[in-house]
Formats: sequence, structure tokens, C-alpha cells
Amino acid sequence: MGTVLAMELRKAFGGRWFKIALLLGVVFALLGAAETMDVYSRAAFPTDGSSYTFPTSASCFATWLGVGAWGEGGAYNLFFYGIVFVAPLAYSWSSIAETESGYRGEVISRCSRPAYYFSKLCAAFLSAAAVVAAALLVNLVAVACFFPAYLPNSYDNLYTCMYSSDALSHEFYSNPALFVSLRTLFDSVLCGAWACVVLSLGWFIRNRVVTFVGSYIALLGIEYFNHYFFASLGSVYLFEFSPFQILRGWSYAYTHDPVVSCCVVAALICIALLLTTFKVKRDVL
Amino acid sequence: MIASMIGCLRVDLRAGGKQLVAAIVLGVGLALLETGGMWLKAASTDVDWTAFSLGDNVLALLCGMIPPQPGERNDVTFPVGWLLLWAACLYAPLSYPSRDMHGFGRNVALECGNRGAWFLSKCLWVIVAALFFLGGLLVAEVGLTAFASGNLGFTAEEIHPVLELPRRDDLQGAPYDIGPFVATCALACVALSVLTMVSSLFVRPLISFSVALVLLILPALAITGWLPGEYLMAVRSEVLRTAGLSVVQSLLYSTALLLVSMLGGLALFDRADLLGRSTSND
Repeated sequence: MGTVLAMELRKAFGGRWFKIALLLGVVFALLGAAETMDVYSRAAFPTDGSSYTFPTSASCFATWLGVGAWGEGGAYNLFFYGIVFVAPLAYSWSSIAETESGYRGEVISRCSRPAYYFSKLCAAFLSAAAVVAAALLVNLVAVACFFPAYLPNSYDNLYTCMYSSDALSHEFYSNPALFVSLRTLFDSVLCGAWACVVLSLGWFIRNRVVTFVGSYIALLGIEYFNHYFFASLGSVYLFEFSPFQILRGWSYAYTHDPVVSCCVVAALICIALLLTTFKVKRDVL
Repeated sequence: MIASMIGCLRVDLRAGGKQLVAAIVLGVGLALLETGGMWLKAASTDVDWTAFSLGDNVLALLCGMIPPQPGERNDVTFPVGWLLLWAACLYAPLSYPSRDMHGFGRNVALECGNRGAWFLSKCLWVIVAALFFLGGLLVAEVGLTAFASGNLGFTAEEIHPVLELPRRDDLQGAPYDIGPFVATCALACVALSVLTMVSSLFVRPLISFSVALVLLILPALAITGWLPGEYLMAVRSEVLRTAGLSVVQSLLYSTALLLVSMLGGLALFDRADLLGRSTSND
């Protein structure tokens, strides 16, 4: 397993598509930073000469994409809707490409089948997670060049939008560096799990557009269901379960329940493992 | 040239038949899903959804959003239904033509001796696919409206509370006549579909879809008049905004985008190396 995993990791991180995904993620993150700076400078220094600089809500931890104070516009949405499509581009295409080229047949006749399939899952997970983590950290560096690293103050929650009911809000106000680490880790794991699902779908669907675009459209459908059909059940506890929303620190619609968010990640990993196990046990010939 | 193009189009309509059916199914399915969701939301906020006209239902589907202003924090929700609609519309344009660049389709392009005919037939196929998607959408909306209120006019009067638009001076009050907007929106949809298909022939379809996502999501950032996504949002048109995009501007923009995509793509495709294209992703 070790040799195959090392080979898969080398292919995943050294491939052209990993660089393309990383580039797109970083561009989205820089657009998000630019938007935040633009919105803040217009809001804090209006043209009538008055100014109020909202000191602690203008901390680089609050303006970071994981929180999104001052910048929930197009680039902010572009990042969270875009990164879910971009992260699997890093390596999830390989299941289709290697089936089409005949490479898979060559490899599984030389090593154990579970080693090949599960190494591929690990490589897809890690490469997608690395793309998301790098993009989020680039955004943090970019906003830190413009905003000071003040410790956010809970009195400014009107501007930071992180209320005590939001997940990890205690860490955000007490130890923002830990908050950034935990959010980056969670977002990376979520996108890594989604990349594994896309890779696993590729074992069964040969068409790249159906696998990538179709699954993405299905994910948008889940968000629509979350916000419209789920919302009509007014008498029950409403929460976010759309991956596009739980990637963010908070959302306008419903609360982020950490247990639900972890369940979504677990469900994605289970789907990927089930599909791959089914493929491992299936007769190759 | 025209005879070759008609021949290629006939082959495309047969070979890409499944994707055309998928476009209709997606159009009908999304209209049912999104209008159903909107009615549920209206019912939960005590708005009488049974009074919605065809214009009300279509406006809810195509409304979109206007960019937030500083301080306008609680009124901003990204229109995920709108994004879902147009992302699904791009499925057929991305799915068939780029796939036909390999194997049989490539041999046809090389051996018929007229690449232009092959390319233009793909553009026409995409226009047909986009119109099928929109047709499915509209037919489903007509069916739903006939079932609910029976008011099949394009005037929207009752939908305003459901749209969740911020209170601004530049937004007009009801009623809205959205007939002209629906026509310009259809043209913008066709233009975006052709642009996406043409780019998918030169770069990978997945990169092309990424670019299309950017073109659809970035209009949430600003009012520019240059991004295709703005012409697909009713809230950006003069129907809802006093200084919105006019019908003439929308027609000119969409026609120009369509022509540039087709003619630019034709010029590039004529000189493209079809045999040297790799089919693998690594």
C-alpha cells in the first residue's frame, strides 16, 4: 500500500490539474480579499468626510473569508460556490482518465486492488484539502496586509456577524488563530471528502461533465432544498446542511450546528468509501 | 457550406438526442422544484401563492439579486435557485459538443472537408438545446400557473413580498410587465450557452464550466453591464430598477456576445490542431 500511495500522492501533487485548481482557488481567495478591502474602505471612509473605522471588526481575523465581515458580496460567494467545484479538479478526474487509458487495468494486475483504490481516495482527499487550505491561508495573508491583527471584540458582533450561538464563536473571540486553524481544517476536510465522492462517482460514470458538473448541480439542488423546502417546516429546529453554507463561518439563513456539519462530512466520506468498496469487490473482467 | 451544415446538424440532433432530452427534463424539473419551493416559502410567510400569475412565478425564478451596499447586511441572500437554474442550463452545451471532438465527431470534422460547417452545426445544436431547456421551463411554469391561479399573463403584481429585495429608491414598485425581459433573458441564455460551448472546444469542459460559474456569480458583486449574468437577472433590468438594463441594451449585448462567440470560435476552430489534442487529463 505504501508504494502505491506514494506514487498516487506524487501524481496528485505533481500534476498539471493540481496546479490549475490551486491557481483558481488562490485567484478566488485574492478576489475575496480585494472585495473586503474595497467594501471596508467605502463603509469606513464615506465621501462626505466622516469616518468611523470600526477598529476591532476590522481585524484580519474578522475580514478573513472564514468569517467574511465586510465582504459578503460576489467574490465572497464566488469563493464558497467556486471552491467546491475547483477542489475536486485537483485529482478526482483520475478515476475516469485512468479507466479510459487502460492504466487502471495495468496497475491492479500488479498490486492489490484495495491498495490502488484506497490510495487514490487518499490522494484525491489530500490534494483537494491542500487546495482549499492554501486558498484560505492566502486570503488570510492578503487581508493581513491591509487589516491589523486586532483581537476581535464580541461587542462588535453586529459588524463581524459572529454571535455567541455560532459555531466556534468562543474560539474566535478568545483565540482567533486557533479559530482560523480549526475552520481551515474543517473546510479542507469537507472539500476533501467531496473530492472523494466525485472520484468514486468516476468509477461508475465515464463522462467527466456528468461526474463533475452533474454532481455539482445536485449539490446546488441540496442547498435549494435546505433553504426553501426545509424552511417551510417552520415548527422544527432549522439548521444548515448544505456544504456550500457549512463551509462558511456563519450564514444569514439558519444556524450552523457543529454536530450536523460533522455528520455531513461523515456522510460524504461514507458515500465515497461505500462506492469504492463496491468497486473493489466488483469483477474487473 | 449550408448543405454540409444541415447534414452535420442532422447528425448532431441524432447523436446528441439524449442531451436534448436531458435539457428538457432539467428545465421542467427545475421549474417544478423551484416554483414548488417558492410557493412553500410564500405560504410560510402568509402570502397567497394561489393568486400568483405566470409573470409572478417566472419573476421569482429569474429575479437574481442586487449587490449589497455597506451596512445592508441582513437583506443579502445569494440567489442559489437562480444559480442552480443557469448552471443546469449549461449541462447540455458542455456535455455533447466537446465529447464529439473525439472519435467519430472528429473524423467527421476532418473528412467532410468543411470545419466551418461542423462548428456552426454545433452552435446551432447548442441554441436548440438552450431553447429546449427554456421551453421546458416555460411549459412547466404555464402548467403550474394554470393549476394554481389560471392567470397566464406576464404581469407580476403579487410576488414582491417573496422576492426579499432591499428597500431602495432605485427599485420600482409592482406591477411589473416582464414579457420583454423574458425575451431578452432567453437571448442572453442562448449567448452564454454558445460562449460556454465554444470555450469548451478549446479548453477542457471543466475549465469552461469554472469560467461560466465566475461569469454567473460575479454579477452579485457589482452592477457593470458587462457580465452575462447581469442580463439573466430580472432585478438588474429596467423592469425592476429605474436605472436598470434596457431591452435595447440587452438585445445588443446578447447579440454581440453570440456573434463574437460564433465568429471568433469559427476563426480559431478553422486553424485548430484537432489531431494533436490529447484526450487524457494528466
